[in-house]
Amino acid sequence: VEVKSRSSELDGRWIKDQIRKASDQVKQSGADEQGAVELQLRGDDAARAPFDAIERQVKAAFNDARGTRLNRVTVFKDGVKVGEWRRLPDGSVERVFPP
Amino acid sequence: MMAATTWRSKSGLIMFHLAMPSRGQPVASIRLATNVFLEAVKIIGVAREVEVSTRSGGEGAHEWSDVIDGPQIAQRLEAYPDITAVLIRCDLHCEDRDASRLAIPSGMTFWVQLVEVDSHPDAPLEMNVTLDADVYVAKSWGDDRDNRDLAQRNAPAFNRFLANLLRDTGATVESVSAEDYRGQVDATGIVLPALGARL
Repeated sequence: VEVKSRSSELDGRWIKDQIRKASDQVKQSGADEQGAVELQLRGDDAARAPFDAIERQVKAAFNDARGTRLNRVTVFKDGVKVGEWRRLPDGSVERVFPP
Repeated sequence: MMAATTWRSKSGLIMFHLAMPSRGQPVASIRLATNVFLEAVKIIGVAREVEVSTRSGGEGAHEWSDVIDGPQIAQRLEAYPDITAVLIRCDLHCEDRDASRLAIPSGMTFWVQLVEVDSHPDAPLEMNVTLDADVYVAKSWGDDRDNRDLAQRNAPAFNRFLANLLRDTGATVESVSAEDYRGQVDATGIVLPALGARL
């Protein structure tokens, strides 16, 4: 599991680019299996990010065409899970939290 | 006795998030960005692997490690009219304290891609330069955090590389992610401390 954290205000790219990088990192590890990434937003500035903005970036980078080495993306705000998306057997991605 | 390292390697230490105008020709612009990057990177290292994603073949549909030359890659890219992304993994070639070459395998990753696989042709492209080593910053996270010597020797070359990439692609820096290196990285690249300044 790749873990990335941020404490400054969320911009329009951080989540997308961390997912892209994590997917490549899993590929580089040589493992045949898929991996997961946990994105930690820490502190008031980062945790202020609205859920819609978070999900928009996750969906752009983790879908049936992108982030294909990942099977799970989870986003936390100060240690509390605020969103989780999983890859299904058919390759599509579904949000599992919040339901 | 072995000297403590003054820098470390780790995935995604410093990220430059760039945006490049596509001018209504996103595939041609991806090819241009790839070509420009392969020329610019010679200042600081060498491309090791090129991964191409296409709409028809999906993510990482084609991967080459046998050619690192810009014109050759450009020629190969011509065969794919539905490119959605190109990712390039690079080794860094730095100057060590004794002026010898310090090679850092897999020290940098670059990609250029459509914002979405089905983006509007006029939508800007996303580019990213990620450093997987903190050899360029003066205050690193190595065993010994004082990396001023290597930073002074090598950061100017990285900044030239970044400036050339921006100039020749027309890209701009949207933002920089360098949480662990506050005050040491900005949109122009690596910010070195004044000579004699305390870390």
